[in-house]
Amino acid sequence: MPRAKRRKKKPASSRRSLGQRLVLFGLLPISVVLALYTVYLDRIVTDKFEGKRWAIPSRVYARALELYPDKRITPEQLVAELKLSGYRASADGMSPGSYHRRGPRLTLATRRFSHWDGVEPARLLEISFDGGRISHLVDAINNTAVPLARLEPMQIGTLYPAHKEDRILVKLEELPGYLIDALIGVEDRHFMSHHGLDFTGIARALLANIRAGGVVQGGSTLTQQLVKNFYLSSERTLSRKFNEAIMALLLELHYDKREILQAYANEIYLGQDGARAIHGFGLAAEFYFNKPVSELSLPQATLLVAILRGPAYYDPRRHPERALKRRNQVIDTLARDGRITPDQAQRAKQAPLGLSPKPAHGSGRYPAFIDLVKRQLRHDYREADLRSEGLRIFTTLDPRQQQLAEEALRRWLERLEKDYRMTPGLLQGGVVLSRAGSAEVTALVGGRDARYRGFNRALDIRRPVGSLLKPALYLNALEQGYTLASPIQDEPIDVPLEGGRLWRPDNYDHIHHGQVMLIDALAHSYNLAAVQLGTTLGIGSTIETLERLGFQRPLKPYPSLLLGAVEMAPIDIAQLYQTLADEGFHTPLRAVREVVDQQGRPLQRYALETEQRFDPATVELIGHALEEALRRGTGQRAAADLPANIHLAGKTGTTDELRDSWFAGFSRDLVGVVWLGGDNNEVTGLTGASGALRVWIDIMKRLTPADQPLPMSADIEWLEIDPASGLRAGGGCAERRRVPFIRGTAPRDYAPAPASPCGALWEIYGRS
Amino acid sequence: MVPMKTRLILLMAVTALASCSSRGPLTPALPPSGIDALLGQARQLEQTGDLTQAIALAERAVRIEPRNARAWHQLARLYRDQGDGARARQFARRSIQFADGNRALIEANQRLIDSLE
Repeated sequence: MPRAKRRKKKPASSRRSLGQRLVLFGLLPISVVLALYTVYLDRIVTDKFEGKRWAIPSRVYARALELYPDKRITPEQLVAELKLSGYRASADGMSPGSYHRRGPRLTLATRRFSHWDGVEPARLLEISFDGGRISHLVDAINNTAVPLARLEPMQIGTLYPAHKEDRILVKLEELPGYLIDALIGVEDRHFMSHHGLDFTGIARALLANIRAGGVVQGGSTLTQQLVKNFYLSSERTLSRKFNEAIMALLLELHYDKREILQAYANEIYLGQDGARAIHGFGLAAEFYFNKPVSELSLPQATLLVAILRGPAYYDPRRHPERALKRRNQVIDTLARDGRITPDQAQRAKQAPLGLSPKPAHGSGRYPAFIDLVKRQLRHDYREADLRSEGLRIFTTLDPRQQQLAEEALRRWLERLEKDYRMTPGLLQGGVVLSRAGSAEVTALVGGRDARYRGFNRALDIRRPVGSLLKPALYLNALEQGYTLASPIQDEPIDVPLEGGRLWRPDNYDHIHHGQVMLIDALAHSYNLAAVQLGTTLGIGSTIETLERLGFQRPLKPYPSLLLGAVEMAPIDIAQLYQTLADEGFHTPLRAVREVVDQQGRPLQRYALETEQRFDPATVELIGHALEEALRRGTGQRAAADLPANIHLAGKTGTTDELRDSWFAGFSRDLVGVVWLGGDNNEVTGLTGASGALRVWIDIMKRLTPADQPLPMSADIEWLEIDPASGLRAGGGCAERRRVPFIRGTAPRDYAPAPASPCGALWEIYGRS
Repeated sequence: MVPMKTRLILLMAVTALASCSSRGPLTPALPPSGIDALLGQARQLEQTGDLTQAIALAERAVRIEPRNARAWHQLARLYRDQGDGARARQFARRSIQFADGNRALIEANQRLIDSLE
């Protein structure tokens, strides 16, 4: 038996020919290499898929609009807000993201939103308006009164999109059923059953390509397409296809159909917006239709599926007929697969493309404001964190105020250029608006072209400010025992400077006004009076006042500081006037309310801060003087048309040779600063009153309700004063003025008897 | 026997009353104002100790109505609870500034400031 066995063995081993042996030994290393390569690809597949390589930028939101009974808002204003946030008018206002207005009533279906401090559920609201306010706010489903409803904030941009990529991540559940059906039906009919490659699909494509004599059909499954989009560039070589195939199989091995489909939905390339690539259905829904993907209609969803075959070729904005034709083919596929009825298909095919206007560049609608947000965040975060963590940043921007400010600036720059015969395009400007009380920056305009991400004049100009600092001087004086009626000498003064030189300032009108009341020295912006007072008090104490008001850069104690020979930006002035508007409470201006990470945890609490730095009543007196300045002082010409019951206060600022035009001021609720000038310091011929003030009033009068006087505490009493002497006006005096005083500080004496003239009347012109 | 006329009047009265009680959805009973709702919730959270959330609500109230003295007072209390005396003092002062003659509120703020000394 052993002999037979041995004999059997010998023929068996010798049956293996040389060729077979070669193949065997050749195959072994090849298969090892293949195996290793597969492991390598597998690693790439799993690593990438785990989502860590997606560069998810941080989303930036404007402030959320709060609705409550008695809120001051008109139906038109609410509709304007809703439109900005992508809401659409509908027949009944019941589908999420829609509203319906019938005169003073508005039905609104809000979207659910996770604010940083809680979730606001989706609601169906019935809102009634009366007399410019909300009169009733009702949850239409429960029939209960709603004390407070917060709308989802408008997304105003993304920060630091890495590699110019951008995403709005969507979950599978958010995709409308017909979107998925269309996707699978058109792109990969056997998606649910294959394991990554679809051989019948490949065969079919091969046949079609052979017939056509070129590549007309891809046999790629969704999985393969995902791999292509995800990992590889767009080369179409054989080795690429090979890699793709292996990776598709590996993907299917590791992840289930849902996960693959979801990744696809977030990755597929669907268009281009300048330098920004549009990936994923979430972003595409916003880009093409300005709505969340869950709200897409059947024609809209099928359009997206139509586009993905060739987003440039089928660009619906550039090639609408092509796009429409292909969309209708997709709709036909849905009908053929029985996903929709022939009736639905017919209606859908007749629908227009339904595109929204192309949105402004991703982070580009409010570049100046976003710039401020970035700078404030840079204080507190590493740039890398902000770039890749998918944070949500909630800001203070008020889109409506921003729009008003932008338009007012643009309008007036054009008009002033014409009126003053300047070179078109020469005049530039910057605007800052903030809310009194909270110091939240509601609007920031960096230049006449607000969409342009360029030099941010609101934050970065360094220009002398003219008379804008005078309120600090006079506030200083009041703190040192002066009153609004204190006599100040508006007379020439020689100020010795370093190096033995003499400075001889003068008034703009070159008139010496003699003895004037402090309030008038401020309201009419007399330079000589300011320098007289300022040198008496000492420059140092005025600098200290400026620092307490919130100016943080070092100031040189030159007397010319009193007349604004200091270089500042609108945001610096805004901080000073914020403290004045807030009755001496200093609150740092802020553009960011809260930042939360991807899990919804707050990264940093931007806690509210405030510090009482001045006696409130004293600051209120300055506020009154500034109201005088606007009404009867240097601002009076521009303010002549302003209704008497709209209470505004502020100061003009004009620089030498009329290069810079400033105005800074406030209402009870809002602080505003406007600068106009040329980027190259050109002479514009504008004063604060003829230039910046026009813009300022245009903005503020639209945002200031009537009958909101500036605050005046109970410590203040009003007395009639003789302006010539600054003493109490006795009987028979020709001129008398009502002047506020802190109780106990008013002059006790009366003006001299009527025999002496009570006070000279002088003509006052509106130039500071 | 109730005369016909009286019955009719009674019937009309009852009908009127019935329709009163089933009045339409847009005339609910006096609702709490938006600020009141927030401050009420903030007070509850203060009691249960969720100070961070309470502060978020009180800040929201201040944003809606920057001159609301009660909102600033609530913030002052919350920061005092958190041990942030500096902020508490300043917010109490702010509340006094807006208190507009409300003696009880002014005194409450003053007591709070005194307690921080």
